Amino acid sequence: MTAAGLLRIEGLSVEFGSGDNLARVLNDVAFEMKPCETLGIVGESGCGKSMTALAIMPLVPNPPGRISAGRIVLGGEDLLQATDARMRDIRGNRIAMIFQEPMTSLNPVFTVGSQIAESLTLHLGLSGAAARARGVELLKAVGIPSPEQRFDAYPHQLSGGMRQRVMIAMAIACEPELLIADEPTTALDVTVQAQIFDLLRSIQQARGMGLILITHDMGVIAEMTDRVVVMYGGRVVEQGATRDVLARPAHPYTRGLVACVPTLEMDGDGEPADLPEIPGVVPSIWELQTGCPFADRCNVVQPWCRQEMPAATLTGVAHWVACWQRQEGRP
Amino acid sequence: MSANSRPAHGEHPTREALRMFARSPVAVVGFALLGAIVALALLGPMLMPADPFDIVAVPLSPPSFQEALLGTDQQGRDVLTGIVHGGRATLAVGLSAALVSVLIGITVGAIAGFFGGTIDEILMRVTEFFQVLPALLFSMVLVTLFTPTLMTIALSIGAVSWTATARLTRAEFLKLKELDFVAAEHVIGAGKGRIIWGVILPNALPPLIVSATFAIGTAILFEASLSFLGLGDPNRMSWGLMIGSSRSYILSSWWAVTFPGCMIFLTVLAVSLIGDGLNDALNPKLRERR
Repeated sequence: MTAAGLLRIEGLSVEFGSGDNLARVLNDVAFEMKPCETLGIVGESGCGKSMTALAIMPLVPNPPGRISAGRIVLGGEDLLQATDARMRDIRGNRIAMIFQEPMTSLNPVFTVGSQIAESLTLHLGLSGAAARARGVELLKAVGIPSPEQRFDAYPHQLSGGMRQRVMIAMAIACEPELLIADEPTTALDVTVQAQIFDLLRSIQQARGMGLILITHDMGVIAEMTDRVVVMYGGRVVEQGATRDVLARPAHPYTRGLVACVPTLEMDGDGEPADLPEIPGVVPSIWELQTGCPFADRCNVVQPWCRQEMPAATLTGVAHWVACWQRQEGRP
Repeated sequence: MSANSRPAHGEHPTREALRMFARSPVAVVGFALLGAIVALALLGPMLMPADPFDIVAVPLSPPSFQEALLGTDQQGRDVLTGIVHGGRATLAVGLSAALVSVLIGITVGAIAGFFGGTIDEILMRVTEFFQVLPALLFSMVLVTLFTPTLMTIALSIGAVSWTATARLTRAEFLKLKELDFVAAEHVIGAGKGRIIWGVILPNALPPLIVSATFAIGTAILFEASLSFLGLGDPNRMSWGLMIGSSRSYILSSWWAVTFPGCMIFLTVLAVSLIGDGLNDALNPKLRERR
């Protein structure tokens, strides 16, 4: 056990349904995070990125879903063993989360101020003038102009970027150790995206939070994160320091993702180079998986890939990959 | 963009709804009508302090300017005094029965919709059980089991008419509980009670307010039906009681039944008009914005 770790996930599996309708949406997911670190989780839609975030909270919709195996350890405490009351204490206070859609993440019938103050009341026991003062301070910290007036605004009076800033203010209200941002800028336009990322980075540095950034944008991963976890078909296929993974992607899927980032290079006849793509689609969660989930789309697939899932092996300093190509012995 | 036809950007939703309500002629007529009826019920008995059960003239005397303006019933009681005094009981029962029915309905629907699963199954089977019972018969049984007072009548009407509200609340909860801001509330560590009553319910209120308004109308009709069948409180004058006690004379002396009947009709009409107006004002799809 690493004493300095912030978050450690071991063998996490999440299942939906039962019997013939059983679907494993997360399969043996494992990674670790140090305090103040930014961890990126990257993958296509349906790879289990958001489900991993929900499992950490843990907010997996139950029924039909359930966490069937694994441990999620935050600062030495296994969250999956914690009681409901204990979890309510931890959520918002030690772990916070920002959602994809700022348009629907705020309650339309209350002012943004009262929603920020709620978290302060729940966890810090602040109320009235004290909660208001702290709330205005938070709105200022996330860069909202004239925070005194905005405190009494309703969500529909704010733009998307402003709302996402309010969401961030709510999330950091109780100074959490870990902030999970699930595609926080997908719904925003590009200039606002950059502002939100700048804000997240400066807040993270100022407050020493761990940040999990879920995205499908390799550019964001390169710019924002220290370490990256690549997910495919509910499994972690590669993880390591971001610059190692981007410079020497070991898994064919990661290579595909890195290659998909547009560049300004020209090909031989002076035309812009064709953008490579990964053929095929993410396998359905209802298909029974034996072997590597990426086998059907892989350009270096071998017969044994379809029979057994390769174990994660070291390919560099703290750089793990789950691919038969990198395994010494084959079945 | 014409500035005066569009609401100011960022107008408070409640103010916007009120403005929409005030602009609807139907709603304003309903509101004025109900206001007049409530004023009559509250202030009338002070202006006409006579006991509505007193005999003032020959039984079944027709409306006249000399004796009784709206005539008398079969016991010689003044119909006008009865109408003025009977409004209180009718409105009180209507309002409190609607309140009881909405409270039960919202509680059952909210719990069923929020928790889902077995709890939902059980509560919905109970709701269906109440739905298939003949409501009037069931409330008659309840009223006869207890002494018919305004309180027991209101409770028994409420106890048989909450099912529609429960289903509506459940449907709203099923829809709203999936939304991101409810998840966001889980994420900041709010408890279930807080999420049900403080987060989801306020968002479900617009259709529930409309349904509660219609519930008042239904409850008034229900009270009239019970009184008509002789199951009302015999010691309190109400419009239903007046119709019930004079029903045998409807062909020979129309006034004893028609005037209280008109009052019930006008009250239910007023409440329905208000309900329609609220529906237009609170329904986001009918709003001008976006």
